[in-house]
Amino acid sequence: MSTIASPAAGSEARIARRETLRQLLRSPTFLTGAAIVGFWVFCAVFGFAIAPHDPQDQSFTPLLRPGGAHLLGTDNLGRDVFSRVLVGAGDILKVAPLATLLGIAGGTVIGLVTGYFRGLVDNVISRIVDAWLALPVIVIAVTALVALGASTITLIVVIGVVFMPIVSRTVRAAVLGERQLEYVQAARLRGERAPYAMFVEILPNVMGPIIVEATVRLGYAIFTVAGLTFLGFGVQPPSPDWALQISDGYSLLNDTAHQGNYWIVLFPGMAVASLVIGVNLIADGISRALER
Amino acid sequence: MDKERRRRYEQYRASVAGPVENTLLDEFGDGELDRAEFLRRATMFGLSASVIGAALEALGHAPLAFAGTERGTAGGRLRVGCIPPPAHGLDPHTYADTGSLVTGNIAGEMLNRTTSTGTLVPELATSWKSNAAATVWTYELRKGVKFQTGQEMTADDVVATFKRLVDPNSGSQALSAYKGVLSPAGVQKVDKDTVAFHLDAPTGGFPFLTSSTTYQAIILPANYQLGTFEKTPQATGAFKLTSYTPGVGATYQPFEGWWGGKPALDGVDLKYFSDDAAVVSALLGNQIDLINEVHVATGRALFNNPNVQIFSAHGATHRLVPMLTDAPPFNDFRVRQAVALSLDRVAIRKRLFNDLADLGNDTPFAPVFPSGVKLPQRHKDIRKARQLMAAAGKSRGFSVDLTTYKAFELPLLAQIIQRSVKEIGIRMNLKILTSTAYYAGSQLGPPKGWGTTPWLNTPINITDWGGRAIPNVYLTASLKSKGVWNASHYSNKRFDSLANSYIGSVSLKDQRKFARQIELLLQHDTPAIYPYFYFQLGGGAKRVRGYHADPQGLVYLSHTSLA
Repeated sequence: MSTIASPAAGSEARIARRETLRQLLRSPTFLTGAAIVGFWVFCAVFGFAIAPHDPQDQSFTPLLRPGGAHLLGTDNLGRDVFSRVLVGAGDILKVAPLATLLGIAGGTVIGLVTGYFRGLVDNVISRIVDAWLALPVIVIAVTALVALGASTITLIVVIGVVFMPIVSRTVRAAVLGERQLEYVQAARLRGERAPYAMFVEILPNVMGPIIVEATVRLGYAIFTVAGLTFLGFGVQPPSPDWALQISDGYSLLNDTAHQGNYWIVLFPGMAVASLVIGVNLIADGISRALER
Repeated sequence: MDKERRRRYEQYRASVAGPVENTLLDEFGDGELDRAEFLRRATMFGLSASVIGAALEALGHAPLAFAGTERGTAGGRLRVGCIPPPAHGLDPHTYADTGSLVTGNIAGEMLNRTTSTGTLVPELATSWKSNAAATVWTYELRKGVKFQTGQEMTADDVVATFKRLVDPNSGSQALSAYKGVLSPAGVQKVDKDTVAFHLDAPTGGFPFLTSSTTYQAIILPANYQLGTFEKTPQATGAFKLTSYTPGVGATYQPFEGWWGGKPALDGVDLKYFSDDAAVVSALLGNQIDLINEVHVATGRALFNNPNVQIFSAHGATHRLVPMLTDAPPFNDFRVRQAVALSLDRVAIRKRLFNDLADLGNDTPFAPVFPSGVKLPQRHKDIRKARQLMAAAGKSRGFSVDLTTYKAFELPLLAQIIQRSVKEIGIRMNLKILTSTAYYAGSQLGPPKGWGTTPWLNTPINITDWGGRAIPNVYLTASLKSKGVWNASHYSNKRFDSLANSYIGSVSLKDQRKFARQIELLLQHDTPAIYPYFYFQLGGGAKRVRGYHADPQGLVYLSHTSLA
């Protein structure tokens, strides 16, 4: 687009972008989502400063009910649950966005290649992607993490790689719609090489679906990190990570004489849920704004 | 004591009892042993109930009381939840994990059995006796015992079973107990009902090593084919294994030909669980009657629940925190001592076990072992720990990885240690693996090294160690220079020689003499931290009768019934 676009077309794109942004800022869905996610990002960064207690301090009486000096009670090692919930977003907010970014980058490349070339290349890669998609995400991720050993880097890489084929399907569909359009034909006639046509001509025009896909994927990435951590393959103790707190505490839930010690599991659970809902609200808002 | 009994007692001492038995009776007479320790050692050396009773009476103790097992009458099938499921096949000599040893030992029996109080009772052997040097042990076998195949048990079967157990090429896991103690050539038939064990080195506590403590030592027919344990019932116990589905469960029917009579139960249904919360919920929901093993940290719902009874056995089961003594940063004993001094053991015991554990003192001599000597308890002492770190040139601390795996209270203990050593400047990073990953890799054993497996080759880790009735395996496998499970790579010639002397001692006095020196040496060198020895706990519905927790984690049901 850029090479044949007139200056007027360029400013049109800028106006369109500004309009989308204006729509977003007026969307209650987007704003609510942004407020929730913003709150957790703030807590992840400044949580240690605002938490009433050191989240790792084990010196309190274990399994205190919520109330009094400990707003959300204490866990089985005598740590303050409220302080841990406040700072518990840290690891998940590092891993999930980076994994999403990796998945989007890889998936976009695969999608562009399969969508642009069609034919044999598309057939071969797409069948591999289909086969890959048939396997449950968690199962592949657990297998890979067991083989490679759990660490933050492997977690990011594994989730990123697992997401690539899923993202590639969305991008491929968008590219298929674009490749027939005149500006792509024109670039080909000019003798531009395939990478140029893909990344410089087509990519900017499929950014909308990619951004929506990225926000949706981020929600799934948070769930995947939480799920893997719950199973013991993700974030490692003593991190106050929410899923880790749930994993540590859920075996105490059947202790009915002590109200199931529900506070160790309930509050981190609500925190994970709120973060995912926040991200999905943002995704919804962006998708609607781009549709208009 | 009437004259006739005293005469028989004196006659026994003069003509039947050897130096081993007389040393024991003298020690008891001199007040070196209390009653419980005397009973424990008397059963170990194979003294008969009448001799033990006579000795008690001669020395002014109350006579032996034989408590009948409280027994229900209802029959019925007992539903047992077992966590975790067996990891491998069920050939008894290969047992290394809880699931398989529980499954096999409901059907199988040993020569003798260690009770929940640490005494030995006869099972397939009726008596045992050693020579003066404790190098040859002779066992009389019970007559009229039938295998579940119908054939009669003889010395040939016992010899074949033990040759497999001590054969280094059979894949036997019992070598952890028998290596350096017994070799295949030492297992000898004397006659149809007598077997003699000629040991490689004197071993005072040998009868414990043939008991349920070595849970692989299930007696099988001489013509036992490997891989058939789960297919054909061929043990000698009260119950025969009639079906087995890996990962799901097993069923048992009573064995009509059992030498002990007719078991009270109509059968046993064993169900496998992989998750503490699930097995606890199953008991609370009346889907099972008994759990093989429960933990305070993960089974809180069971404790103080009026519908649940907790079975407890005082044992030596523990967690070991070995530190690699042959590589920085733990190659300086002062650093290892400093780590040990940073732990608040009383608080740890309260937090993880609600006090259902004994404090550890950084030696394998658990309080349950009468041969140990009580040194002053090691407590948290941050000031001293910092001084030691400074003396070792590590006043600014260092970073290190602590490795363990996700099971029981291990991750919680790891977090407590991580927090504790922070006070002396050690920045500890936790690596919580799966149990498979933790025990994966090669385990070559010396002299080739210790392979690649994380549990024997990480700077500091936490490993779960099962209970034993005597500390021999702990000394030989985990601390001697050539120990196969020496995760500290600890090498100290003086320790090796003291351990040999301890294991070869027959009298309690000698054992205590060497134990004291070993304990002092280990507290100084601190190749590993022993934070606690926890009680082996089981949980059951109130209607379960006559069940006792086993210090080794076995589920023994031959005398169990349902009300």
